[in-house]
Amino acid sequence: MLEDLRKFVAPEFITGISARNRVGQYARNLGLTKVLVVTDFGVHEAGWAKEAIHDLEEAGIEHSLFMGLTPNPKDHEIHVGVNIYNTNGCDGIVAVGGGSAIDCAKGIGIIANNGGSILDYEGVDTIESPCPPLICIPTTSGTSADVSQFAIIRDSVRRVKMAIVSKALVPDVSLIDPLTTSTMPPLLTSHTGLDALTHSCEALVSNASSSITTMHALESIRLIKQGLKPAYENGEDLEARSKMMLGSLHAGLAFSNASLGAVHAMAHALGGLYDSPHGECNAILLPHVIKYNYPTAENEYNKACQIFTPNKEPSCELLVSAIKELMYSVGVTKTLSQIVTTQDDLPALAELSLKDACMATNPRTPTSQEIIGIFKNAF
Amino acid sequence: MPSNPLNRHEEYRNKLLGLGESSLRKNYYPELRKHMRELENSRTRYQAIFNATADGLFIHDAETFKIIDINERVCQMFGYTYDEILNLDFNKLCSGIPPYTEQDAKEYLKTAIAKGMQNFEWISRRKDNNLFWCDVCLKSATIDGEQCIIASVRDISSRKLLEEQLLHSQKMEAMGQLAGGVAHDFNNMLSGIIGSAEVIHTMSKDNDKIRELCEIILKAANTAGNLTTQLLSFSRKGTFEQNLVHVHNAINNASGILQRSFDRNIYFNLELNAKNDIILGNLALIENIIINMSLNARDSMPDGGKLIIQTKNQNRKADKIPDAEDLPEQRYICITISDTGFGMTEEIQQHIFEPFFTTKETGKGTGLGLAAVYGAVQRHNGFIEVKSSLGSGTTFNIYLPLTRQEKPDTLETTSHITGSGKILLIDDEEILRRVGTSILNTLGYDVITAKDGLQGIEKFKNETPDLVLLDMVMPKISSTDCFDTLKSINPDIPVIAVSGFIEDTTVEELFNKGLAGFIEKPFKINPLSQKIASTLLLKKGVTK
Repeated sequence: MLEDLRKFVAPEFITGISARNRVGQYARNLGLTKVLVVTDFGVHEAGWAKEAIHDLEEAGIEHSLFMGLTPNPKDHEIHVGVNIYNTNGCDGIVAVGGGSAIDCAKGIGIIANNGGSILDYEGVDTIESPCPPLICIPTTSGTSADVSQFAIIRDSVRRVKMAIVSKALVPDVSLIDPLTTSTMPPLLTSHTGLDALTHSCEALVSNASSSITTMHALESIRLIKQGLKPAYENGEDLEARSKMMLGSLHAGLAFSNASLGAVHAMAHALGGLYDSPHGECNAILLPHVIKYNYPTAENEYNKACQIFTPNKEPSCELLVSAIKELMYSVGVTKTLSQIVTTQDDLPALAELSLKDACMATNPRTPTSQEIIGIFKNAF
Repeated sequence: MPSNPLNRHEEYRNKLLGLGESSLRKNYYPELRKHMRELENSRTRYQAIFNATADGLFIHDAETFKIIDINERVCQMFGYTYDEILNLDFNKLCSGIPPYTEQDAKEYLKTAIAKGMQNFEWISRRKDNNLFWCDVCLKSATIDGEQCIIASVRDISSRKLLEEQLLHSQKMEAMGQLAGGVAHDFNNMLSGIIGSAEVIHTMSKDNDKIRELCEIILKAANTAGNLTTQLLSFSRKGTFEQNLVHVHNAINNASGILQRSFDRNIYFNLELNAKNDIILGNLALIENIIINMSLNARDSMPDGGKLIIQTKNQNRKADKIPDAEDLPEQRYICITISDTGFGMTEEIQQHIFEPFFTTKETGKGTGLGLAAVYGAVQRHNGFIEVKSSLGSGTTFNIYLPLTRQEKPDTLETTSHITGSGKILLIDDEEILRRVGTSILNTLGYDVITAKDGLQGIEKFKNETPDLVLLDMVMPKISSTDCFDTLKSINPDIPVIAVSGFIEDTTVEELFNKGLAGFIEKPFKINPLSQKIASTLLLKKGVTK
């Protein structure tokens, strides 16, 4: 089979129980002497950041701690982190947390070595110099920021989520330990799990996909289908947690290289305007975007459908209902009307969606009106 | 960015595929290698500069004061290898003599950290345990992120030695001025005493008692004259007649006198090995040097011992005569006088050439012996060094420059000669005018006197004398100006210079202008009569 030119990038990663405890060893191997540990308050309270700091100290590596970030990290939070990084003479970053902590760490890394404002780096391949070494310990199984070349930062003035895409953002090392997700509350488990499912579904049908990304996307869907509900129902079910962690990893490898589509473009617009949970927005929009895209990417969607309903003739309706069933089973029952207060915002949201980089790889190119239509369907 | 969403999406997609030039992962090895090369160059440059300085550089840890690094100059200065110094107990580099102990050094290091740069002079110790003076500058600095102290150490032992030598030579010069001044006045008084006594002696042929008393006066005055001669020798202002002299002859003459004064328990030996011993100098002064030094050696060995006088030729470059850097390059004869006596402490060695310095009991030494030796050696453009320590005897090395001329002249005279004619005596000292008049009258001459050069010129015009005796140090007009005027009036007039206190150059200058002769004060009747007689004889010959 002859393929068009495609590229595949991925960090060095370790998967499995206790992978996280390699942080000191890797930091030393990268020649680091003082690292900035970027984490959020919840993860710190759960003990994962403390444990990482202990491991770093055991390896003789000093640290500074930065916890001043919120979900959907903001531009000004990045600059506070950079200040701490520079003032303390750090030479590397360890991110412990979900997508917010890891994206924030990526943002800090960009400015630490390239200067300026984080807003200067919106878009693809805008980073000149490489970032400082970055080690990730993901504590959620959904965003895949720990393996991707993406960082999503919220511009607090324009109130938009902006995407920064660069090979420079692929972390140096990711220590993917399912145990870290055992402390996630059920709702976060479902939001991040559905985020991962959206990643794999969008990468699957992306117009930049390849056989490698498709393979990862399908494996991701299979693992999430198996793991999400048990993990939601029993957070300490390590087997389910492992499946979700691997599912998220496969989704990350798929979308990091094939990119995403309309769901993410529209979810970014929503997240920017309403600061609503990214995973939840994705989950609400996914079935409606599948319906819109299906005519253009029928084959790929059908492969996904066969994973959900292996013994039935695949169809758009079957796939959408399987996904919705999974969503409801993990407590995600909201519609868009519970997030967007008035439909008057929809044209603006549609414009923002069309401008989002993720829209470029959607299999079908929508018009503004079509986007508004999808939003309305999700109400 | 294209406004058409489709075009824009195509551009985004292409970028996301990551196949563009700017999307390639970069390899920073070439940049790393470039920085490594720059680092290496910088290190090499630093090492080159670090090692190029004439000062020794130490880098100390600011907490422990341990030596972290040194430059090559430190190894040369202290005589240790690099590794030895880095592992050395700091104490070994200090003299250990308060206030130059390890503890003192650490106090300076602490102060440099607390208050900034410190600069001080210090005595250090080399590996061979020799001590040396150095100038130290301490400055705290941050190197490779660690607080350090950089110690810059300059060897100032040569400067210190020069300072000491300068102080010593200034002191000797001042003493010379003082001694010369006293001797001059003293000489004038002696001239009066000796001259008058000689006249009375000549006039009292029938009175033995008076003649005997005159002889006592003359003996005492001559002894006093010898003292002033020694003082003038030290001050280098006495008259100095130079001839070609065989140094070995001088030593042999002196040893003839010396051997009679030595007890049997002193073993005295000469080892005259120099192949060339001819110098341009004064035989009597050289003899005096040998006698003075040898008598001192004898006195330092009351229970007997060895006194050896050796000579050898030395070339300055080949034999590396110490402390002779600023002397002209030439060959020397080195006279070594060594004894096995008491020896001297460093402190005493510092003062032995000063006039009136003596370690002998009161009445046994004038303190002028070695001062006269010092002056005499200086007059010969030589130099003298002493090596001694308590209990190990003393060795003096006297270096005198050899001359290229070959055969020494000889000149001897004996009794006084009478004559006739008119002599103009110009001298500012009344006593000398009176004594001079008496002596010259006794010798058969008519005498006109003048108290200064101006009066002398006036009388010269009116009286037309046959000869002029001109004192060389006078008020109003200088003896040189007076001499020039007399010669301009009568170019044939013989003028004999008279002084006990004159720079050789002035006399030499006058000789070049036709000075007929030179008479040393105090007047002694025989040499004066001979000089006047021979001058007048020569004048007549010329006139004829």
